[in-house]
Amino acid sequence: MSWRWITLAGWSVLAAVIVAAEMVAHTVGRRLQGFEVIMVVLARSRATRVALLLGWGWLGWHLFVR
Amino acid sequence: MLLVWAWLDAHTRTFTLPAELSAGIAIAAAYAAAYARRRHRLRAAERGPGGSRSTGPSRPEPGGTEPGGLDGDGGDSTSSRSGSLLTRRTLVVWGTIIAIAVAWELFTLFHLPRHLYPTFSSLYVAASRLLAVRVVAFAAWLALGIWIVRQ
Repeated sequence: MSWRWITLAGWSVLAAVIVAAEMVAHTVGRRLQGFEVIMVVLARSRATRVALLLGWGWLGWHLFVR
Repeated sequence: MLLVWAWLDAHTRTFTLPAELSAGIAIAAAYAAAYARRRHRLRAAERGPGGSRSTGPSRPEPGGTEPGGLDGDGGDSTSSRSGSLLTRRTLVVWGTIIAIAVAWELFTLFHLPRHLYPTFSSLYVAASRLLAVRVVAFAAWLALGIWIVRQ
């Protein structure tokens, strides 16, 4: 098994865990909230709102331009 | 309009002027809109309670230090919906997921060759050979930016 497959497996497991956590949060999870709740809480502070916007801009430039 | 923009952007190539303009205009517009909303909010606050009703839902004022709290009991549905509190389980689960994701990204980033250690963005580059992936990704990115500006 090459490192490529190990790396890809890692990303796949991570994606599966994220989907599972969201599903739990939106179905049976009363104590586990979805990721959007974290975003809402982060966006309530001015500093983190600015950081989110800067990070969003960087992400778009990185993925779609460079 | 969002989908049309995403569709047009999907026909640009990275490292070209059209790609720079497409993303650059979106970023500049988002920053300008966020700045304008902040100025509007500040002016509304200066006018006092009577003139500040048009600013939308209430939120901590500038410089406020209320990033949300920790609900040690495990959360109630009301606070969950309003986003005012994070449960301990939420912090632990998502904090762990984010930490692992960052660690994995850094692990792949500092290892070469890239085809053996693909990063998140290199996986996107590979997937973006499909037009639909580029359209959906750009539309999602635009939607996220609009959501952040509206907060």
